[in-house]
Amino acid sequence: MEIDAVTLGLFLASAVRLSGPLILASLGELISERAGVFNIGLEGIMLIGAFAGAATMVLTGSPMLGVAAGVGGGVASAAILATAVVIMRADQVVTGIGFNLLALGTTSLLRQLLLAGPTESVSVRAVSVYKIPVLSTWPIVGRGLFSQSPLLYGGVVAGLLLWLMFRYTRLGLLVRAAGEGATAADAAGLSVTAIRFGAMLATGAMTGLGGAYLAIVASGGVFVDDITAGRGYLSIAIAIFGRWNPIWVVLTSILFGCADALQYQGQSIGLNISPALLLMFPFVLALVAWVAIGRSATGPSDLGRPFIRSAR
Amino acid sequence: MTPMNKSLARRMLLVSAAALAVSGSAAPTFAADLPEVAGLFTGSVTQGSWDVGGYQAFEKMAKKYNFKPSHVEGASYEKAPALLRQLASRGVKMIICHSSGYAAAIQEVAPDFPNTQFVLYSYADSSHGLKNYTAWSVNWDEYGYVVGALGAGASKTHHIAIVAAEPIPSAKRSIEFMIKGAKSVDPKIQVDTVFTGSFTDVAKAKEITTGLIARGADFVIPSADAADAGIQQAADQETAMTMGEYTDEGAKFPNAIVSSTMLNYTMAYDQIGKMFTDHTLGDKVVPLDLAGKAWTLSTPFKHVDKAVETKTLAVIDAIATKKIDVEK
Repeated sequence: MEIDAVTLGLFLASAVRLSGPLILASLGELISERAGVFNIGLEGIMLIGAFAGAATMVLTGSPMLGVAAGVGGGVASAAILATAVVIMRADQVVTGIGFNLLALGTTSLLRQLLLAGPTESVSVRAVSVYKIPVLSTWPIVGRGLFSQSPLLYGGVVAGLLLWLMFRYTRLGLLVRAAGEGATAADAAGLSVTAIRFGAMLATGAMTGLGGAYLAIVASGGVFVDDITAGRGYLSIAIAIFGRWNPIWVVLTSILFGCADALQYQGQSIGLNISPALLLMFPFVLALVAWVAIGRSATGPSDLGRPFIRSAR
Repeated sequence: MTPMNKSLARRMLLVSAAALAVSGSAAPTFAADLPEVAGLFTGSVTQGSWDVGGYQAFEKMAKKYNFKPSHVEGASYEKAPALLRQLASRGVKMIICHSSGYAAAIQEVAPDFPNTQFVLYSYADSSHGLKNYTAWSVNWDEYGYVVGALGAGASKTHHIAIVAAEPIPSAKRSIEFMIKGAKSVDPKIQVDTVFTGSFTDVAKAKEITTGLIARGADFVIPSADAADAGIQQAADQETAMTMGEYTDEGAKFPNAIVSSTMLNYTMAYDQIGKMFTDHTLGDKVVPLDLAGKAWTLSTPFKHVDKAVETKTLAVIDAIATKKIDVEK
């Protein structure tokens, strides 16, 4: 086993790249959870965003349009889910699970209809990497932190903006009110339903972007069935592990990216641990997060509760 | 019905409908005059290379021998016993299972349906005395040996990598022979082996391959089916070499793919169709090896000297003519 500067640099770059979809999707989940909606359908939204992104890029030859379509697909699918859980007050967990299954079947069917034949490969350079001058040449951290996709930088900036929004702005206060005390917010004249619906659309945009990142940046425009492979569920765990704080959520995403990277870098540098154990690592981490944080953290008090006006 | 029961019924309906949408697709039953044959595939028949090639050969066979074909995609191993029972119960005369992972399900179900022929394509060491079970068994040891020899011959850095999906026993054995084949060509070669844990996660396959190439590997052997696209993509972007799996994939990444293994699915499925028609199936394992031309490599090789192609094809010939025994 050999751990040198090159290995560390590769590990860091790999960890940050792998955390990209998690940062975007978990920030999306954080928004809906702060508004009181436990969005189990995150996996499905991400899958639809990934498909919309990949299909649009393949059909138009434009990765930028693909990214836009990923966001659009995420928003549209979140709108459907929000209609069920926010407006029609369906059970959030059952609907979310059903939605994920439906998204898997739908994207698989659409792939067979739209992407089954041979396709020309499209350069994704415009969205895959931007080297920040000077910083990207720094040893060890240069490649990992300053030579990444603009979408990933956008995710980190979004984390900062969300932190500011929740802490200092009226909009942040409204979203928190819908999640912390929906009945009181309603009594104060706020439309809890509208706030939660809007939060779900924002979740859809972020998660769709995460899906587009996965399909376009990380997979070069290749869409395969179930491409998300549980990343949506991991993102839900990250939002909780990060204690619904955007900064912590970004850092936790990178921690999960490290766990993911360790699976592969560990195997390739000859770390003497069974590959099966290494492959389990991110999921074990998620489980620890759920158990440890679940007992100690206080999330939004109305999280997961459908808002029924007559209940006040 | 009480409100709670209605609510429960709605939930059940929603989940059932969604589950139905993803539980695989079976073609409708056909008229009764022609024998119906069914294929079981673990993944999608339009994605990756293993199931795609198998399904195409399955369709050709059905057309040639005038069978009524139906197939099930996404047939996971735990679903297999139920699926096999369902198909056999409705009168399907032959069920072809396109993966070695179905062997246990066949052994469980075949004794209950003596009028249905069960066929397995991939690997089996025995048909367990069942008169309605026949296996076509690829010699994966030979396959691994040749692929390893190709990688070692092509590598200029004396450093190659194998990226596989799940650390299942058959994959581990195949990798063991890849390393053996590589060492037979270049005893000092470094072979890195990594499992991604997924046959479909293109992003992870690409990520790990990028890292392996950065560490010095200049030839990457893909063994992850649908996720191979990520491995090949990384090799293409990092100007390394790789290969195609099971079918000729050279056109997908022409700047990186040296050659592709090409399983002769058509030949094997044609044998299946003929033996079914002749009523000669049952209780046997048909070997698919290099001596029987069960598979080959696409030529001409790209991005390497002609000598690499010549030497690799010589290894194939030597194995086929028993001059090399890969088991030793």
